[in-house]
Amino acid sequence: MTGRLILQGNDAVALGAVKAGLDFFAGYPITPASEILHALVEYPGQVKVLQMEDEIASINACVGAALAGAKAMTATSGPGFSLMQEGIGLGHMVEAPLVIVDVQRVGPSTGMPTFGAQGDLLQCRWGSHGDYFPIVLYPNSVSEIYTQTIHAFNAAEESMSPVVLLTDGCLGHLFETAELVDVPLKTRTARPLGGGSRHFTSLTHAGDHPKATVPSAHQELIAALAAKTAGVAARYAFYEYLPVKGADTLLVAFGAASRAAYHFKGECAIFRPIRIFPMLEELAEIARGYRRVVVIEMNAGQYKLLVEALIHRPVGFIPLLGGAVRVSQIEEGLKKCLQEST
Amino acid sequence: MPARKYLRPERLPTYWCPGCGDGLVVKELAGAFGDLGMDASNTVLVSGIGCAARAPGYFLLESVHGLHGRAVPIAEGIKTARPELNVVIFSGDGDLLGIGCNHLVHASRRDTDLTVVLIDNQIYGMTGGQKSPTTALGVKTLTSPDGNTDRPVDCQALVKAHGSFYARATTFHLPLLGKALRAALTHRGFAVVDVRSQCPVNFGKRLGFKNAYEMLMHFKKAYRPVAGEVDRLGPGEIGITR
Amino acid sequence: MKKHFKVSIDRKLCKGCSLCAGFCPKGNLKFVDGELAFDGECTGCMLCVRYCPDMGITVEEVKP
Repeated sequence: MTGRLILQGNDAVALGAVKAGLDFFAGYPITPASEILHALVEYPGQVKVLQMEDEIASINACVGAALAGAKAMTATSGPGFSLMQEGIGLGHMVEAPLVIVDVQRVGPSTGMPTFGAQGDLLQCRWGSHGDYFPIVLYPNSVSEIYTQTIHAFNAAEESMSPVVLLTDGCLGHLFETAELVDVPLKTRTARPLGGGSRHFTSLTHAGDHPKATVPSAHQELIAALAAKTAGVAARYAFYEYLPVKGADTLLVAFGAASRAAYHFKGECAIFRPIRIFPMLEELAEIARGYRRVVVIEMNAGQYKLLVEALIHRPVGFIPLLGGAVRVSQIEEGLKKCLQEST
Repeated sequence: MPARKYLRPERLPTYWCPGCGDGLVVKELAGAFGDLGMDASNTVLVSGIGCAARAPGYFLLESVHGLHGRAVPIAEGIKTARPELNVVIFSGDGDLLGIGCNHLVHASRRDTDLTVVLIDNQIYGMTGGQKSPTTALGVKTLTSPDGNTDRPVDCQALVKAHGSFYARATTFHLPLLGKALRAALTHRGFAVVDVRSQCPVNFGKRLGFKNAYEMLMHFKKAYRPVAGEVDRLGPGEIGITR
Repeated sequence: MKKHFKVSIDRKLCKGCSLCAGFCPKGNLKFVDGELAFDGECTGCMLCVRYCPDMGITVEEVKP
């Protein structure tokens, strides 16, 4: 499907996934992500949909389906994403290509189910135990959700790993005119399960062999995973940079928060990472041209921490908490940041 | 033996303790594959974590050794994506009836065409001998020093509630185990073979059994084979249910 | 005619669990200095093979 449509973000995920060749979806109902499941049951004969007993089952079913050769996806929100973390680590360990959609809502815990948030950023990067190197994409419009969903599938196929597509409750339920622009698809090179004697194990391994007591095997495994994802991520270095003449402040924002940040594009430059992880080196380069860098995000300071680490200097911060995304709040926050740094 | 072609002798000796029942179940399953002439290229093994979960590594088949408790959903993903594959699960009592019990119940409801080989030794053996979901009442373990007070999970009741295939055997009654495995593998739909097995090192010794042989002799006395197919197996009965 | 069998123990695989020794109806499998050994006349019942969890015993018919 191509052309212009009025769609909500969650439907764009479903359309993008189908366009990307989705074969298998396993999920559990959760606000504000359920519409993705609802949309995908409308493709019988094309997408096999399992409504599982929980998100743990969903992610593990996706790992199984992916190893069996399917293009697999699950979709959830914070509480479910928390439950999936061990399974995401499994996906990285056995190199299962799949897409996890997290339509973020206010947390911790049950929080505010119907309100959008951006509190799962660090969980995307470090939520599972041990070392892994996920690719995470975060669009900010319904059109972009469609395209980035396809990119997420492509990145999963190329990296043979779980890729996270972040959205938020605001975008998931946002209806707007969407332009569906297609992206060429990547195909799998790995052989699907069956016909051989491979042993996929969650233990540290070298090839088919468990090496759970060999430090050098683990060091090699982690180095290989890191190199593999870094190489693939370089081909998905998506971001939006809106410079403005004379500006000395660079706003960093993504997802729903970036839509509010656009209000200030006349006075501040804006950098919007779409590839949230691995972090974009381009941001470090661009930030050098600004006296002040201010991160606006819908959490208590997650990406801000990482931006500071990336650009090696303190950054200003405007938290948008409790599902409220208000221009006035950003205005006040900016005023405070200006006072602090003058 | 024809079963050899399904195994990887080069991976021996096995990872398990002396006298462990897991090796016996591996051999019987390979035997059942041979008896049924199963296509190795079309058969996939899946397991979670625990001693029993190491079994797939000894088969010359494609296999997935996943997360603790999650063999069933991994297998459901495989089977749903590729219905032409025979998917067989190896699981232990902790894996299937403890951490993964939710998945067992729901896969049974969905009647996914899977064969689950449950190796039930009534103990968490790998982690040193803690009480498991199937440890009998009153039994002393590392974590029930005054005797277990938790009632054991009734696996038969859980899967028969949805009309799934259920059979029970022991590692003493190997011909019956073979028959149960063959019946489960040819059953279309969700099938569980519940195998009472021995953990001589981390359980039997605490119970006062000198070795694995004594534990098998105990199974011989404690379990009574039931002929034909029955609606339900009573306590201490082994056999195949309808 | 009476059949004859040769019993071989693979020392690399035997963990000394004694299941075979328990099941041998003739008591032909015994531990000598901590190591499993066969001594006696094998009837070819194959119980030791079937109950060895480690695939460590083979029994072959031999022509006299």
